[in-house]
Amino acid sequence: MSENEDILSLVRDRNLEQGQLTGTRHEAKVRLLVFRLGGEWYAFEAQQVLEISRLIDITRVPLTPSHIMGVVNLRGDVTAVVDIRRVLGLPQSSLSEAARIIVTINEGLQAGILAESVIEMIEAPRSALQPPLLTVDSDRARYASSILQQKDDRLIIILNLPTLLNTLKI
Amino acid sequence: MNLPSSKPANPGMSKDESGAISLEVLILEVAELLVAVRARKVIRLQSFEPELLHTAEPDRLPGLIGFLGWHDTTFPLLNLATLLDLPAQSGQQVLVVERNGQQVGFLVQNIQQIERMSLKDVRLLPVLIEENRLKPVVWAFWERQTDQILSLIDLLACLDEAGWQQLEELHKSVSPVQGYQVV
Repeated sequence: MSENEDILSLVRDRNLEQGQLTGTRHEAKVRLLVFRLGGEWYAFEAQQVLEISRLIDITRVPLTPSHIMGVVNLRGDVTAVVDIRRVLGLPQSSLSEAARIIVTINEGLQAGILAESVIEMIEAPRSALQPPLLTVDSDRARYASSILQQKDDRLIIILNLPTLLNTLKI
Repeated sequence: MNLPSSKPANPGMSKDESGAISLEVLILEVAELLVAVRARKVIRLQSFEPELLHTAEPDRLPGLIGFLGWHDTTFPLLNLATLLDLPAQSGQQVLVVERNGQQVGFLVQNIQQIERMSLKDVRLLPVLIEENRLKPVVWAFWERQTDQILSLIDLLACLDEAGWQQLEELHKSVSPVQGYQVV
């Protein structure tokens, strides 16, 4: 045993508490953009988000389904804006000043997703993400890739963007 | 607004000095929404005069207001707001286009102006719009200088082939002999 073991032991204990175990790989983390819809918390992985825009200048497009709110001009890119509340079976409450368009991208398909408000960007260990089964309503579970239980018991549903966009295309 | 009642002199495409292609488009207001149509097939713009409207058949075909007298003939008048699934509007102007040699009128809230639209300002439909649209009426978007986006619409796609045939039969049934009677 090293004569410095007493000190090393203390340092190891400290690092364990801080989640920084020396000599092991850092745990993979995921960044999430958390937003509100229908009184619930949802999130997209940050890598799927291009930008967040105010809810202004949406041009209605005739002869499109009601979940298509219209299009916006994002520096020359015409992007469709979608209200996913109906798809998720959520109530259609009126929108406030806090409403935003989350511009997402998946496999080259760009889409603006309506959010009643954008809350924050958080970072969580990937291991903290749990499968959505049994804990989330079946409508939502279909479009959820995982859930994240926060320390304050807040449940964040991480949406599966590819599944959502494929559904919206039909 | 008094608009020219003759066919536009140069309704098609043209190139400016730099070689950029542009199209002549009409900007219409329909149920508070601005849209644009290519001027190519527009043959006349006229005010809506309800006293010239006869044989209103509002329930026979969605969007059909009736048949409007024009000189010694009549042509069907369709409510563009209804065809675009927009809230009902009180239209004031009629856009008359040609389809298979026959005139068809579309009632609009008003016709704002005629502009040239550069091809570089035309944007394809986003996939979510293209794959969700209920009819191929909106065919592209126009990004105007103001960053405003306008839907470019194809008026003749508002009805499908069966709808046009039904309209033709209705027209014949109200005017069984050549030279439709105008009330």
